[in-house]
Amino acid sequence: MTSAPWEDGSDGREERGGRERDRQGRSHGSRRGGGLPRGGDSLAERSAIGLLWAAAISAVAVLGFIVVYVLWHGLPQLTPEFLLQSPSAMGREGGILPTIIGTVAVTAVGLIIAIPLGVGTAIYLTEYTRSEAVTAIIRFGAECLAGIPSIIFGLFGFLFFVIYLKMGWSLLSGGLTLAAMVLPTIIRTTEEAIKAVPLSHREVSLSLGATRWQTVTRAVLPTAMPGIITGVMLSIGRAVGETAAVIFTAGSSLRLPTSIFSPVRTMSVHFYILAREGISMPRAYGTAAVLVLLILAINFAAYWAMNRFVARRT
Amino acid sequence: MATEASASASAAPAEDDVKIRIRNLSVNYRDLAALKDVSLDIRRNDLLTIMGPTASGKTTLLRTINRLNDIYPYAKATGSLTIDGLEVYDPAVSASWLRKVVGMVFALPIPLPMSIYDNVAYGPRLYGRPSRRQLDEIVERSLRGAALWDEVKDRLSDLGHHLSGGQQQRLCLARTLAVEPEIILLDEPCSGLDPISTLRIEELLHDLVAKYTVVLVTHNPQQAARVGGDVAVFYLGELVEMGPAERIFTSPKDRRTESFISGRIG
Repeated sequence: MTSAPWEDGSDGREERGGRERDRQGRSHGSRRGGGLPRGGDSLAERSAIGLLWAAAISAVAVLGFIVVYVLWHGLPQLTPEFLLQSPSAMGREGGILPTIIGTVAVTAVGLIIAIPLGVGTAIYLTEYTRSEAVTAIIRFGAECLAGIPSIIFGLFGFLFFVIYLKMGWSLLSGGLTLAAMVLPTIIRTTEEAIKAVPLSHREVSLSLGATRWQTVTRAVLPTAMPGIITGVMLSIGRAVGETAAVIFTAGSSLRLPTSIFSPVRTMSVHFYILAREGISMPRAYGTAAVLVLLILAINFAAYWAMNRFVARRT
Repeated sequence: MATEASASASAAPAEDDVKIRIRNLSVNYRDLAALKDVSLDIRRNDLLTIMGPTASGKTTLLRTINRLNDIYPYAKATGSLTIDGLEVYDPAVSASWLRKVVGMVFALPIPLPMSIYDNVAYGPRLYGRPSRRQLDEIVERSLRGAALWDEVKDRLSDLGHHLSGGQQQRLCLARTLAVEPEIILLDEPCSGLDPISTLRIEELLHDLVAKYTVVLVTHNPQQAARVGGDVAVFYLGELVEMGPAERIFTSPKDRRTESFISGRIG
């Protein structure tokens, strides 16, 4: 990739620093006995490093604490029956299989809709439209969507998909609602990833007789892929754990879904109902543990795939 | 202007000898006139060196010939530019078809982030679906044409940008050759290279002329002198004069040519 402007900037600073050091070295070198300046060890510098370090550590610590806490309470619940059986007595007994399947299915439906739509929009915005006004309007719309609380999406999905389009509480309604919710993330991250591909790559491709579409699919998208995957990952994370948007649209049925029109209950909704209605806290923690493990697994898988992809090309 | 330029191009070439004919070509980027009323002929299987200081319109001319400037909506070309008699800016002419006929090597080597093999195969794969055997053949022929085959034949699956700068530029040339163009445009192909790599590219140019019409852009008068052939001197978007290299360098007709050659401008 091209060197980023800040790299030049820091190089420049280094050089200036170097020159200053030379001057200092000449004028004070003998007195200091070694000539190396101590500028890097000033109190301000040290406290800044300390604060940044503390910030980083506490960020990781909070995450670690949540994961450990949930797993601590939830892991003892994880038995083969818990994972592979349907719940009985509202979820007080039995397993959570339908909710695992429901979560995966709703997320999959959402992504199957959102990825082509989002990536397509981003390609159009970056590679095709030349109208600044259209781009600005679409971009503004996408940004507004990103800031809307998920429960509003839930309400919209309920009124529009469930009631108005008569889809009922179903995988499809839930998936469509999730798609609308994660679309801005996918558009934005894909756009950034595509914009980071140097113009020269497009010029090379075009100069070899490629059409614009060939240039996008063969020269631009492969290079932008890691960035696009990151956006998709963020979206999966949001969709898998989403509660408010799906409780209104996918329903809370505990039966195994048989078609895209079946209502389902996701793990997060199951967890919410178990906890809220005081059905079974241990089962709620068990569900939460499975959810956390699923999200961790998805992230590890994605980063592994991405590293392999990047390794082949750098 | 038109008659003057073609007259100064060594003894007005015969009609079917002309590969690229440019008449009264002007290119503007918004308010900036990058090329001003340029007329010149480029002969088939010939090497034309376009020489001039920075901002003289050299690169603009190349990017106009293969219509790469189409990607800038604010670039406007007027006048006539024909290749084998075909008006390049005719709306019926597809830019991607044109760019298959007119290959280009850029100033800096830009290998795409893929293997050496895939870089060379990029062009052929755009048209139809060549078999693995055909592709192997094209890749070898193109890399040989760019004098790179012997250096990379055992590591074709290595990434293109792991090669040295000079090798990368020859890879880019091979990638262009793989498309089997009729014209090759080289936009200061040696500007990022060391003297030895530069020499290799310059040697290659002479081999290329046998099969292709070659247009070389350079801001370096020494390179123009070394390469020989015809030289067109550009200054601030205007074609100053054009003629065989020996004549341009020994008895320039225009004061601006003389100043450029002697290093007073540039």
